[in-house]
Amino acid sequence: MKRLLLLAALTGLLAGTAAQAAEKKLTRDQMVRKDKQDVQQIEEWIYNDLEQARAEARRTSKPLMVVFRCIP
Amino acid sequence: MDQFVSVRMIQMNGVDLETFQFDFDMTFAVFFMNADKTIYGRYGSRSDMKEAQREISLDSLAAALEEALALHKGFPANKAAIALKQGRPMRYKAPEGYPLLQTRYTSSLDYNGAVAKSCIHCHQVREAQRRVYRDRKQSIPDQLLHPFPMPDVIGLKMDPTKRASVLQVALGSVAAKAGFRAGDSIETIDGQRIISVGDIQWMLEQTGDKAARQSWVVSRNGSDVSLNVALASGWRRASPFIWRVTSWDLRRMGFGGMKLEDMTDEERKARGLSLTQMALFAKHVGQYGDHAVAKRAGVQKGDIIVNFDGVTQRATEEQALAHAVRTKMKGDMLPITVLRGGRKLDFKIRTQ
Repeated sequence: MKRLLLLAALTGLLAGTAAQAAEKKLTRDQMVRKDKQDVQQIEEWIYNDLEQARAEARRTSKPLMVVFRCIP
Repeated sequence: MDQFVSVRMIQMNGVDLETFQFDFDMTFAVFFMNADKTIYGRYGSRSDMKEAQREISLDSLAAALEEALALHKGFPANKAAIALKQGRPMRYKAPEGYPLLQTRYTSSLDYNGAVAKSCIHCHQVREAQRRVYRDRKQSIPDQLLHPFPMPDVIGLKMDPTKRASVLQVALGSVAAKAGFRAGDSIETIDGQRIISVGDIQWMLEQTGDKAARQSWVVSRNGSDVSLNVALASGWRRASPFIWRVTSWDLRRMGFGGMKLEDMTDEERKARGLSLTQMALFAKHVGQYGDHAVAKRAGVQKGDIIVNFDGVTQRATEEQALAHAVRTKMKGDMLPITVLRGGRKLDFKIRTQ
């Protein structure tokens, strides 16, 4: 079950960014801002802040998963 | 998922390049690490421009996550099994330090202005690294021209749905000589725990440009088997680079902005060209700025290059481009002969 949840979360992240890129009515700047807004709403993800993530990893003793995924 | 702290990085501005070293032509790269930046492993592979996700899958990512978690639980007792996975010292510590990027970018995105334009993309880092050598009129090292080779370079076709499982072994390849078999699961390379194909690429990447030997351990029918991989001098050159986003900048350097295509046997027959001679079709000729150098020299779309710097035998675009950027330093002239409307025309392109 946990594995299914994990895959669903990752799929959501990737699909979300791809969907934004497909929104041709938006300018690139608008897509970048929307990307930030959308991903920040996903509770499981820290958006573009490695130091915050490291602090959270220290606090929880969890490992980090750092994903490099371009802005749209 | 809840066993990890997940962070998405969206740009290269300000990124610590001594930690985050990966194939900059990818669109999706993952690092598993602990809070002090000790890297457990990498995930992410790419071998095609259009099919960017051909070498990856959620299943293999899930397998890498499980392995990373196991390494985290075993840390620091297992330090030796990840020691070689850590980043290496770099000439520039952050992307915006490179001469090509330092005047245009800062260490963060400009959300108050043109945010998209303020972003350093991954591929720009590789281009900046190569530019350092070009601007010094030095040859680009093979490690920068053929970075992060896929295991295909030694004859291993990996299963994209598994952690690090061999799908096929090419006949007569380095891997075949070492004794690999389809179905082998790569466990360690030189003592380093392999959690993904990306990890294999990292271990190949670390061997540099020269001849080298690596000790691989595979799991086969429930038993560990040790295999010795012998990399001959120049081994890295068998790793294709033309599919990469960064080959666009190489075309500017070596071709003056042309995109070429080796003509097929059928096309050659139709035009009365032999199957063994050079016939590189100018599919695209850049029209603007530094990408229009070939155009300004006189080359047109549709021209067929039959002599490229004295080479007249059949060659692919990648072979010609590798020749150009290896043998011509910035500013050197590259003579070509093209066929246009039944006539032969000579041009000289200034390389960049």
